[in-house]
Amino acid sequence: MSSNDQTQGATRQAMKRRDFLKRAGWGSVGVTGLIIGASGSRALAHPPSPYPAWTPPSDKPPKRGGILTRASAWDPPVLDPRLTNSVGLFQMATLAYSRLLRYPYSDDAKNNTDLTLKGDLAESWEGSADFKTWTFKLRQGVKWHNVPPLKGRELVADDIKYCYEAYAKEGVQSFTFQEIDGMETPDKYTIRIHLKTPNTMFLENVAEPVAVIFPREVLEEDGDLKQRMIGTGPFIMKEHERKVKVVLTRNPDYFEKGFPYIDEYRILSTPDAATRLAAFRTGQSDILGLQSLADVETLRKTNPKAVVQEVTTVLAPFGLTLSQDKPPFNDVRVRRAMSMAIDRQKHVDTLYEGHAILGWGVPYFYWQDELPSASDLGPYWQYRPEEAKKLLAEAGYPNGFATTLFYYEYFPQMTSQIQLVQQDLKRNLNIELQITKNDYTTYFGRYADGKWEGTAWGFQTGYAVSRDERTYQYVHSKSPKNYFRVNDPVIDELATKLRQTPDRAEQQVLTKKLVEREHDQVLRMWMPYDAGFSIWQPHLRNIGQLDLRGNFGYGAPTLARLWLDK
Amino acid sequence: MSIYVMRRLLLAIPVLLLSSLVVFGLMRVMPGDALTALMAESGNVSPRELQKLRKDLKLDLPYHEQYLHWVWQMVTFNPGRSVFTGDAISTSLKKSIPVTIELAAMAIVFGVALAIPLGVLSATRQDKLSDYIGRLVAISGLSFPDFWLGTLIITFAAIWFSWIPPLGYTSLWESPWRNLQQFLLPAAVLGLRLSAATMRMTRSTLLEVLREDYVRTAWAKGLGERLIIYKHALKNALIPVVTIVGGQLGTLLAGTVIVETIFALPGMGRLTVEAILFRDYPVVQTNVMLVAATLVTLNLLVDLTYAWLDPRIRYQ
Amino acid sequence: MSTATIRDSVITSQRATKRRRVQALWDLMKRKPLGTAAASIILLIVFTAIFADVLAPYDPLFTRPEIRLAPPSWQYPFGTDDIGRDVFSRIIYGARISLWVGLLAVGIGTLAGTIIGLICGYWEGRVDLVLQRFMDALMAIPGLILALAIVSVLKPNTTNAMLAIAVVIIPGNSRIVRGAVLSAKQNPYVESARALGCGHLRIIASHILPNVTAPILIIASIWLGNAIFIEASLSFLGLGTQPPQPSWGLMLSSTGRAFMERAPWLAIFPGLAISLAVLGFNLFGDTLRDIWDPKLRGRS
Repeated sequence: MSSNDQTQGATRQAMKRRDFLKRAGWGSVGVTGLIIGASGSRALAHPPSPYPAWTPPSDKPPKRGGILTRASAWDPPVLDPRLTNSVGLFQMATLAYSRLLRYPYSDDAKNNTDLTLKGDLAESWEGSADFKTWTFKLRQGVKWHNVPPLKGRELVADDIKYCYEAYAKEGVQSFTFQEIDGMETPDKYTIRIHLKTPNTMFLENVAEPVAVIFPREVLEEDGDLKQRMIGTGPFIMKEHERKVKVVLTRNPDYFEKGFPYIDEYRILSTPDAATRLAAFRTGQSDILGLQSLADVETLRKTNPKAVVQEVTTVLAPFGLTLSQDKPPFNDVRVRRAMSMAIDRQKHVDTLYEGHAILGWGVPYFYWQDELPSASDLGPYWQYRPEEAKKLLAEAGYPNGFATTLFYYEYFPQMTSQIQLVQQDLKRNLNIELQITKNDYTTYFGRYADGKWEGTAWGFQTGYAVSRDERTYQYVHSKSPKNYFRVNDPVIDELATKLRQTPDRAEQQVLTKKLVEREHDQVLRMWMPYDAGFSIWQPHLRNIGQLDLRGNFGYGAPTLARLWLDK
Repeated sequence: MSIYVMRRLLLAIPVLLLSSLVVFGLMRVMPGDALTALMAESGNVSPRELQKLRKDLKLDLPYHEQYLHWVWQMVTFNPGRSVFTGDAISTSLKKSIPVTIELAAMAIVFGVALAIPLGVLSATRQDKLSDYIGRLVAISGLSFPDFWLGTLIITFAAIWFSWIPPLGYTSLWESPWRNLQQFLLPAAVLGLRLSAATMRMTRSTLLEVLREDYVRTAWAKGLGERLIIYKHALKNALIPVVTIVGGQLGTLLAGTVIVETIFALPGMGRLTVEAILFRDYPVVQTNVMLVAATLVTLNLLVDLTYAWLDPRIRYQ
Repeated sequence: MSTATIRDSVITSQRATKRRRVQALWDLMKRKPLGTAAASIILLIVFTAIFADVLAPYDPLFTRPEIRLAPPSWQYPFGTDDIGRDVFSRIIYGARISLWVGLLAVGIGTLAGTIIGLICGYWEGRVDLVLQRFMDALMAIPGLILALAIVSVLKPNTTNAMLAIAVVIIPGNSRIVRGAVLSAKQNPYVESARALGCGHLRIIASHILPNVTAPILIIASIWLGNAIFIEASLSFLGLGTQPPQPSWGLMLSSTGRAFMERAPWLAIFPGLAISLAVLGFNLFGDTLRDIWDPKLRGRS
């Protein structure tokens, strides 16, 4: 419902801010600073919710002790971080393991958009001028969990080297780590990494929540990491009963003294949404995620004291994926027509009750400061059914065509949304979309396989924070994570250039060009999405909701800073 | 008698074999194999890892060899490992079988406790108001899908009573009280459906039996009506009821996935269904064979009980 | 007497017979009120399914998301769903799907089961032994699991869900038919027919089938209710009817559950529809059994 005036205003403001930043010499902030939107103000393209996006850390003195419980929808498929990106694993793996660098937690972040890199296992770091060599100095005295076979021995640089080599060899993270040409450990606490090609954003890749450091002893003894989870993180995995619960206890030797505050974190496997809601209502679960504003209001009727935070939606993880390597979708006119035939604003207004974004793939703060408005997204993101029909006729399909769509219902609104899209396409372009709802395995297998025809309701992987992941690793034609089958030389060029650009302001410009190209050619047809809300029992503290990393999913390490005011 | 037993035992073996063929065949025909499922979570497992996995799971062998290998595993009680998680199947079975047995047992108790009195009531007052009410109650039990009932219960228990069963399954030995709390509601949901079928069977067989000669004789002898009904008639009417429970047993052992999902119980239902959806062949094959073998055994026992009770059957 | 009078008397006596028949039916209906109610429910469902196009006020697939989640009103008697479709129209068209599911599943299952049961019961011997073992093997696999596996092999949609349910029905059915055939064979008429040299087909048609029809119909009517049920469970697991088709099971298991608190009418009406249908079919089967099973004829 953004009027012309509103959007004009928003873009004007954004322009001003960017110019100012440039002039104020923020151009070369360097590779270690990423403070975005520090002023906290944003012109929104949709009405805000009555709930804050951020809860500042409590100023009361923290209390130690207590048990945090959460009814979780996710079961880890495997425990091996090399074999899966699933949040089911990382909801706990991120607490048992550490990584080289990290993003801020709820008590050391300025606000929800703060993405300043901080040291986790590394104390300090620097990059060479050509961005191909990166040196990290590790903290001293970091101990592995006091559990056999590690028995609390000290972490050394060789451990990091071993991990990264293992990741490069096989598994889901291999693409990221195969950029590494070689590594050296001149002493116990120093590791130097050489890359094959320059990458100004390498540090971000290393800070990804999934780039965890695991012990060589376990991998060598067991042959895999499927059976044991031993790391250097704030929690030790005490119990893991498949499909029942995971119990994590405080690591007494954690290298950050004083943390974690809580004694124990229990994750209870609860596959059904109604049951998770009931668990939160009755106090059996301390944290809950809800999709829509109306659901939140319903909950507050029975639990008025519950603390609600808005999870800022910075990108849309889902979109209409077309098999664009084959006709008819290899014709840009077909893609553009389809995109213009779908009334995205209507999804936002009705399905998501006004609280959703129109849909784009790269986190918006990587290409502009303000939340994008409809006009920022280009002409093909607007609802223009007559033009769409003309364009489709031009492309040779005046009477439309029939095709298929398969999906997995991640949440109920998705099915509703897909059916709205189906209607729009039929009504406006006479495109018959035959929908098939699959179970998770069938869906994911087909989707990741990349050989399917027709269309799918596709996604980009959920965990990534870094700009590199969200651009190069997802849209480069050679990347295995390029599920949308983007194959555009301009994109490839921009993405590669991005990797070699250290200047933040220039990065923004390049990313914006990349996104504009993406939208112009409709290479990934993103759809409206709402990240929803996180709800916390009133006695929890240090619960600030962080952007791009759900506090209890991939962003779980922040739970080490949470305390219970009981 | 022993010849009868022998014959029935011998007949059970081909049944088991045929079941195993059906299960094996179905799993192999499913589109998307187990390895695709493994990739599902990962997105790109290296070709080398896939090859290794294929060999480990013997998926590179021709079908009949795979089958024979699996049969051997079953016979020697060594079911192997899950494709998906790598855990030993025997471990997961050890965890989920007690859950299923407890759930099934409690459901049967609930169902029968509800069904028999209702059935007796309906039969003795046939075509009167209590009969109609009884039949209506019974059939309502059949009419509510368990996922709807389960969701209703869990949602409104939380809202009205601020209580739901404690999450995080604990076994009966660890903490009997907590365990009972967890199983009460799901068993009631399952038991309701069971009671419906059982009640109608009780009613109809009781109607039959009440017209038998020996019941009329007992009546004529002047014993109290209740005594007649409960002693003579019920005993014989119970036999077909056992059949019904036996028939429902299949559902109770592996068809409880929906109730298990809603009440977060790690039983055989969830294990088997999730294994089917993940194309986890070894788990599905083992689970279904286990259930099939249990059912065949139980049916055998039931048949033998019949034969023992009713000599006419032995000589068929 | 003139031919007119004879014709008149024939017509009068025909009319009398018809009146007697109608009277008998009426008496039956009064005696079995539950059965009558059940039959009316079934007729209502069939009627709704056939005349859905006329009865439904709106297109069940037409989305108007602006009016989503509207509570029941004069304009939308059952309210609207999460993307603004009229629930009333969807329930009406849902009758078609549920009936389709029921009839096809039970039809195929019963037909196949009857044929197998007939073969086994009539010819006995080795054929019986082998076929019955195969049936036992199928029965040893829990119904939902078997249906799930079959649908997983084929594509998930309404038709395949029906086929899967049919397969689940077959073994039980064949067993019952077999039993009925075996007991029908005891009938002296059958023996004498064989002795007279009547063909097998003739015997089956005239002596066996009539005795078998009753149990088949009873079981079939009960299975019609179950079939709708299993389809709902498969939809819950995502393997039955696909959106946007308005199957009652899909409506209940997806939007009904998701909006249980905010928009309870989304669950109430499909739930009622399913319950009513299952109730109707089960009660009907019950009543049939009451009427046809001579041992059960009560004091009436």
